[in-house]
Amino acid sequence: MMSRRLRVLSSLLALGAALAAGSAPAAAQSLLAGRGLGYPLQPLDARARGLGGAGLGLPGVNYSLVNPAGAAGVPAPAIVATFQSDWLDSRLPGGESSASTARFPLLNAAFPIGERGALSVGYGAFLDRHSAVEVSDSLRIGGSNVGVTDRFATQGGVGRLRIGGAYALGERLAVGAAADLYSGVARDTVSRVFGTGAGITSSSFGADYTFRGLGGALGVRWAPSAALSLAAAASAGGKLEARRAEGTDSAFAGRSYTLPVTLHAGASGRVAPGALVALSGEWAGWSAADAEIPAAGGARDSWAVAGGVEWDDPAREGRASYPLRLGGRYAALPFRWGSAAQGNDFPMERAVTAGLGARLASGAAHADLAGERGWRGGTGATLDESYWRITLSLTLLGR
Amino acid sequence: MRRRFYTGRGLALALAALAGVGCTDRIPTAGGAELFPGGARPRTLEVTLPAESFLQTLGRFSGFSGPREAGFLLVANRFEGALEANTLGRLTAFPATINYSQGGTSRSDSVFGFVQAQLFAAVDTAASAGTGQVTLQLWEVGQEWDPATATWQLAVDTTGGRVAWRTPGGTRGAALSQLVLPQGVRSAGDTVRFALDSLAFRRIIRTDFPGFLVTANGTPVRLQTRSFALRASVRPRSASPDTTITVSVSPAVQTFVFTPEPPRAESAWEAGGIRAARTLFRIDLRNVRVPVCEPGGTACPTVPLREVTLNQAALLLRPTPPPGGFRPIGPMPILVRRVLEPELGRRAPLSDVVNDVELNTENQAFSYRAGTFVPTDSVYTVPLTAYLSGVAASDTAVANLALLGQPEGASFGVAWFAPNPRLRIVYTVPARPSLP
Repeated sequence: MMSRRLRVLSSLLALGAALAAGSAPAAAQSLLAGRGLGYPLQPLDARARGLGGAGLGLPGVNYSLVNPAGAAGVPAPAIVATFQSDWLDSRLPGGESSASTARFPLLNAAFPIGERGALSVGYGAFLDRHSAVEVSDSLRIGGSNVGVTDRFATQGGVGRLRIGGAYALGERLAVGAAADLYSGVARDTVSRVFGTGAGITSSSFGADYTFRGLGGALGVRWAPSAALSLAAAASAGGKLEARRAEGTDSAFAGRSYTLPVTLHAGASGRVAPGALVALSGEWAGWSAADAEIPAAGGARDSWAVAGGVEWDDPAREGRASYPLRLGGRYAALPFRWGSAAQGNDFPMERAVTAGLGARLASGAAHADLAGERGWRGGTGATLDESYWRITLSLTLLGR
Repeated sequence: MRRRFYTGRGLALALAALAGVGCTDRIPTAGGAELFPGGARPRTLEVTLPAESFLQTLGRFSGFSGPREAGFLLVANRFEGALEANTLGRLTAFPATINYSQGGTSRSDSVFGFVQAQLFAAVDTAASAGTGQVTLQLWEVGQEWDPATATWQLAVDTTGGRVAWRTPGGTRGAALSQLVLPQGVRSAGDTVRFALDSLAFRRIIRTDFPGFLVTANGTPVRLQTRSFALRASVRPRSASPDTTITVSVSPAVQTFVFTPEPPRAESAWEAGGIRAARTLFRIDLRNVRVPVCEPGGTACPTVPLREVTLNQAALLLRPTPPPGGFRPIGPMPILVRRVLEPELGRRAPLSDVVNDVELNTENQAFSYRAGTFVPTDSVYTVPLTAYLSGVAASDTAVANLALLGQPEGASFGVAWFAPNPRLRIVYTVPARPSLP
C-alpha cells in the first residue's frame, strides 16, 4: 500500500516539476505590470476563476494558495496545476498595443497526514513584471538621419512558495497556517536599434534584480451546515528585499518594499440541489508601500469582490459530472499608470467569467476550464485595457 | 482503474500542449518617450578621433608579389609620363593533326590550309585608361627569355646567369600584327584581337616559337587584359573544300614587364598594387575618452571608450594619388587584417580580416563591407565596428593591423592614403535602468 502511494506521489511530483519548469517564462497580463511593484496576480484555479474569482469558502477541500486551511481533509496525495493565457488590448493616449501571455499561476500539492491533517506545498504567482515601452525616433548621424527604435522592457516577477499545514478540528471546522517565501527575478533591458541599411549595430543594456521576502498566512474553513461554507484567510509579509544581481549595470543599489497585509473572506451556499452560489472579498494593504515608490506612481490599498454561481447535476452524485459556472469580479488595483502629479487615478478592474468543469474517475481527476472577459481603467486612469483570458486547471488525486 | 489512468494522462498531455502554445508570448508594449523610466533612454553620440589620439604607423612594406602572381596582363605606353609595360607570352602547342567529322565519319589530317586566325584577350576596361589613339603591336620575341624571371631589363635572371634584353622591355623579333585603337581603351571594347595572316600564323604555331610580345605606341595608355589565346580556322587537305575547322589554342605561361618600379611613399600609407604594398599600424584605445553629452555643452564629462557601446567604428582614409602611372584606375579590394607579430616588420604574419561583414540577402553570402576602394572616393571608409568593439572591451585595448590589397597583387595600381587616418565612432552611452 505504501509503495503504491509512493509511486503515485512521485508521479504527481514529476508532473508538477515538469509544469513548474514550463512556467518559467511567465508573461504579463497588463501594461500595469511595469508600474509600481508590478501587477498583482491571484493564485487561483480555474474553478475559482469560473466563479469570478470567488474561490474561498467553496465546500470541501480546496487547493488554491489563498487559504492554508483549504487542504484539510484531502483524502489522498493531490496535485493541482493551473495554466492561464491572456489576450490583451491596451489603449493609451496616442497609441494602442496588443499582447498575449501564458503562465502557470498555481502549482500546488497536498498530502494527507493521518485522518485530519494535511501538508501542502505550492507555488503561486504574486507579482508580474512583464512590460515594455517602445518609441521610434530619428538621429542625425554622419550627416544623415538614421531611424532608431528605443525599447525598455522589464521581464520577470515575484512568486510565492508556500508550505502549509491544515488540520480538521471536526467535521465542519478546519484551520491552517502557512509560511511563505517570496522569491523572484526581474531583468530590465534597454535597447536601441538603428534602422536597417545604416550599418550601425544596436545597443543593449541590462540589469538583473532578485527579490526575497518572508511571510505567513492563517486560514479557517467552517461549514456550519451542509448547505453553507465559510472561510477566511489572512496573510502578511515583512519586507520584499530587492537586490541588484552581480555584474549588473544599474544605478540601483537595492531597497526594501513593504509587503501588504491581505485579508480574504468567502462564503458559498447551496441554494438549490444543483446550484451553488459563491461570494468572496479581498483587501490588501498595498498603501504601506506608497511612500516607497513615489516615482512609480505610488500605491493604494486594493480590494476586490467576486461572486459566481455553479450548476451541477445532483443526479450524477458520485459519477462523472460537468458543472457549469458564471461569475463576475470588481476590483480596485493598487498601482496606477502615471502619477498623481500627472492627474492619473488608480484603475479599476471588472470582469465577467464563465466556466466548465469535468469531474472524472469518481472524483480522482478534475479538469476545469474558465473563460474571462475583463476591462481595466476608468475615469482618469489614462490606461484602458480589455482582455480575454482562459484558465485551465487539472487536479489529480493519487488514490 | 485503467480508464482513470488514461483520463489523467490525456489531460496532462492537453495541459502540456497548452504550455507549448504559451511560448509565443508578446509582452504588452506601450509607446512614448515620456514613459521610459528615468535614466533609461539611451544617448547616441558621434565623434571623429584624430590619428594622434589612437594611431601609430608601424611600417610600410612592399615587394610581396609581382606579375607572375597577378591574374592579369598589362600593356602601357608613357602612361602619366612614366609607366611602360609590355606583355610577353607563349601558347600551348598547336595540334599536329586536325580532327574533324565529315559524312558522319571522324577523320584527322596533319596537313591543313590556313583560312584565318587571331590572337585575342579580354580587356579589363574598368582597370584601363587612355583615351587617345593607341597602336598595339604584336611581335615575335627576338631572343630567348625566361617567363619566370624576365623583367624590363633582363630576359633571364636565374642563378645560372643573367641575360639582358637587347631592347629593354623585350627584344622585338618579327612583327606579326598590329591593332589600332582610335579612341584608346574605349575602342578596345571588351576584347582586343590581333588578326594574323598566314605567315604570322605559321610562325606562331612553330614548335620553336620563342613567344610573343605585345607593345603599345601612340598616346599614353595603360591597358589591362586577361591572357591571350589563339583561335584559327583551317581547312584539312583531306576535307571537302567548303569545310573549315576552328581550332583554339589556350595560353601557356604569360606575363608582363614594366618600368619603373612602383614609387615608395615618404609618409603616405600604401596598400595593394603589383608589389602588394601593405601598411602596418597600431590602434591603441587605452587612453581614448569620449564625451557623454552632445558637444557644445559646458563641462561635458568624458568616459573611457570601454564604458560605452560602440555602434559604429570606421577608419577614415583620405586617398592621395601615387605618381608614375601607378594610381588605381578601377575598384580595388582593400581590407584590414590582424597582424600577429608586428615587430617582425615585413615578415610579420597576417591573421584574419577584421572588416565588418554583411550578408548579401540575394545569395546569402557574407562579404566585407566597403572592402573595395574606388579611386574617385574622397574618403575611403573601412568599417571595423565588430572588431573594434571587442578591442575596446578587451584588457589590452590595442590592435595591430595591416592595410593591404586583397588578394595581394590582384591590381596593378597601388592605393596611397594620407598618413593620419581618423577614426569615426558612433557610440551609445549606457542607460542605467533602476527599480522604483
